[in-house]
Amino acid sequence: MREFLILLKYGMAFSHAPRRGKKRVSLYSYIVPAAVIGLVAFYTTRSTFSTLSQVDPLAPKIFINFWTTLLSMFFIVGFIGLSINSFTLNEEIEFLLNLPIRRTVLLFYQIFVSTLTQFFALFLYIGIYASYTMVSNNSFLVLFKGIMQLIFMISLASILTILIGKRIKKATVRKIVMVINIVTPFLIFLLIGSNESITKNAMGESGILRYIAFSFSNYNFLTWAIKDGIFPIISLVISIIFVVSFVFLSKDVEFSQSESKSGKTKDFKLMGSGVPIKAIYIKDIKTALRIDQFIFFIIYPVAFGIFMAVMNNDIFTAIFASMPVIIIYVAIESAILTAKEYLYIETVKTYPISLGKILMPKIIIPTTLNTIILLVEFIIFSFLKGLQFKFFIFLPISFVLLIMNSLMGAYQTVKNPPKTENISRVLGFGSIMLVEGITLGSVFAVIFPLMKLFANDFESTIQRYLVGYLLPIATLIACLMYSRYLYLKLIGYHESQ
Amino acid sequence: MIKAMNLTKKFGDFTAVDNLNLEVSSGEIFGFLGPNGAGKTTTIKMLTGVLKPTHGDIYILGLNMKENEIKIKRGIGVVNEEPKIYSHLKGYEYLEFIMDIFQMNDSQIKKRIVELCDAFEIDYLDKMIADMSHGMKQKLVLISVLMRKPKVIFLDEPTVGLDAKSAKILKELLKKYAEQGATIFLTTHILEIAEKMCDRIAIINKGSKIAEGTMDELRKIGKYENMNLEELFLELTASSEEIKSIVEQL
Repeated sequence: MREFLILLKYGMAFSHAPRRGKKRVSLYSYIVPAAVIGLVAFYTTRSTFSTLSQVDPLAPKIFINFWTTLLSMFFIVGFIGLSINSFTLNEEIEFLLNLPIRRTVLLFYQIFVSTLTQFFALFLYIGIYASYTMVSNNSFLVLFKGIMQLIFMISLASILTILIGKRIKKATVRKIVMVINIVTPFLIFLLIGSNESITKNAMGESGILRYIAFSFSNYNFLTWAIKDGIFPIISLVISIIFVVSFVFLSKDVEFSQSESKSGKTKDFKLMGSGVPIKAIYIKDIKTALRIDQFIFFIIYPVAFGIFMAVMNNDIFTAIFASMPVIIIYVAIESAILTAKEYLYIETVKTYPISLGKILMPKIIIPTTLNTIILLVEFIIFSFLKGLQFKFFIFLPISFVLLIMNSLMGAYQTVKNPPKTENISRVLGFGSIMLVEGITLGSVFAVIFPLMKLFANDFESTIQRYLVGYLLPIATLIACLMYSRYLYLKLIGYHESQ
Repeated sequence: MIKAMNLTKKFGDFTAVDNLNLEVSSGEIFGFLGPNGAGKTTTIKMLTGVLKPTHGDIYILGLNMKENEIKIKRGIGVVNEEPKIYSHLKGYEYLEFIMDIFQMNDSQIKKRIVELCDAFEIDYLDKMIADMSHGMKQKLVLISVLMRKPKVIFLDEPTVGLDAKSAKILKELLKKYAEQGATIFLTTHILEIAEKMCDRIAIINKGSKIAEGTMDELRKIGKYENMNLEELFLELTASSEEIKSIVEQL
């Protein structure tokens, strides 16, 4: 226990090292936002549970089963993805292995850290479960089941990590986790959608209760801990087996990957164009395609758009749901590419090329990629769903917003450059909030007035001119001016160093 | 070839390099020594255009750094202590990138890459840089610089992480390049290397130059007639008595 507490006190500093000129990143900075979300979840679902219990006593159970399934999957997938990396030989583990600390303690420490990284899923679940506890008859038993559920989730994720981590390559793990991350939410909803007819027969027409067929099933082992009857006991026994197995297996963990060594050097031909600008773009495109997070941020909004189109059978919902997501994610994509450059900035600055030219592709590549995605989305929808040509005006508007957000992502990264290869937290909480705030504000001020304008939904001519024309134009001009300001700041940032 | 005049770098209230004057001629191997935190790396960063000096002027290849930064960078080669290079590229992709950035794409340079790879026993150019060890990356950086045969080469602790054979090849190559007219500016903590390789040596401490000259000239400064470079360095940068007393207390 003493070893564990020491690791906790000093080890967290390695995972969350403070940036230059900043105070040490406190654990509370991770807990507090997650706890706020948990509280919001508690208050919003409390009334839902209360209403549901009045409609049907079984309904709150169905609802909590659904949330338990969904959030358990998020927790487990996220946990495995992060902990497999931390169970393998990284700088911190290499250092800790030199210290007189047992491997089991090291593993428990990594489990604890990985659990903490899933704060949002965890606190969201705790918030929802707490409100469920309030409408249940036997609060104490329900609370106990909730704790068992948390133990089951952590023990299942831990044992899966140790079993998968011993056999799988790091790159393969990253790819699997990325695919799971993209597919999981859509898979769940699609499962729910496909079970709609069964649900209707069992529970009537209520939309929420459609979820029952999947999540309320006795085969859904993710919810055994909170079910009635023998299931919580089975879940408890399984958790104990997982914990014992974990302790047993942890003694043999090697903290390394099964990376295959290529025995022979493959043939390659040195190409090259001799054109510096082309070289930078090719290098950045290769980098982007080799970073899983980057691909994730590209694919996710597209999948989200397609999913919304399928679920709602409505192209406008599909386009206007995915557009803000794409515009927000472009900032993260730019930030990832900029962060990758800044890890090697001292070498880069010795190259005979200006920093402005080096940074430009970090804006151009994500902006172009996402503009093409939107264009393809618009073209497909115009062919399949008869999207009117006038809606193509949203493309140049999106382009302006994409450029602004790319610049924001790059500038925020230049201001706070990363110190390690780990780019999972490439933009800090404050930067993300800034990007989201400005994006949502601009989208609301530009896109929604135009939609109303196209729908001829204004009450007066003055309103039509002020809100329908002036507001979007003024916002776009402001966005362009802000983009110019960010560009000058970005290019000039290192001139002052 | 390298000229620094009244070079000063301040970080807030801290003066990392204070009024430094240096002049290194063509064909010379110049050793720049000093204890940890003396200002060696900061000086190299200023001379290579990575950091901007607070005061002073830099001339490389006869060109002023303020006015000809890009032109100067095209003519020099820099090997940093830490081989920080793009981890998401493969070895040969990195070399292609350097060829393009320095606008070099002829058959001669490709031939030279092959020769250097053979010399440094590099058979891992198809590997991702992220999967390479420190020494492997250091060799790759060396190739990316040596393949261009720059007229001025800056090396900050170049032998760190290199195996004995590669280190020996590097030292001999640097001597050969100097004989051919290149200027070599190197920092090292291995004083034996500096003593054997360098034509002239400067010692910096707390941001200021405290000695400069050939080995013979340095010995004459403090009348350290029979001293080797290590003894001389310690005499200049720390007290032998102080070291003795620290060791005794331990």
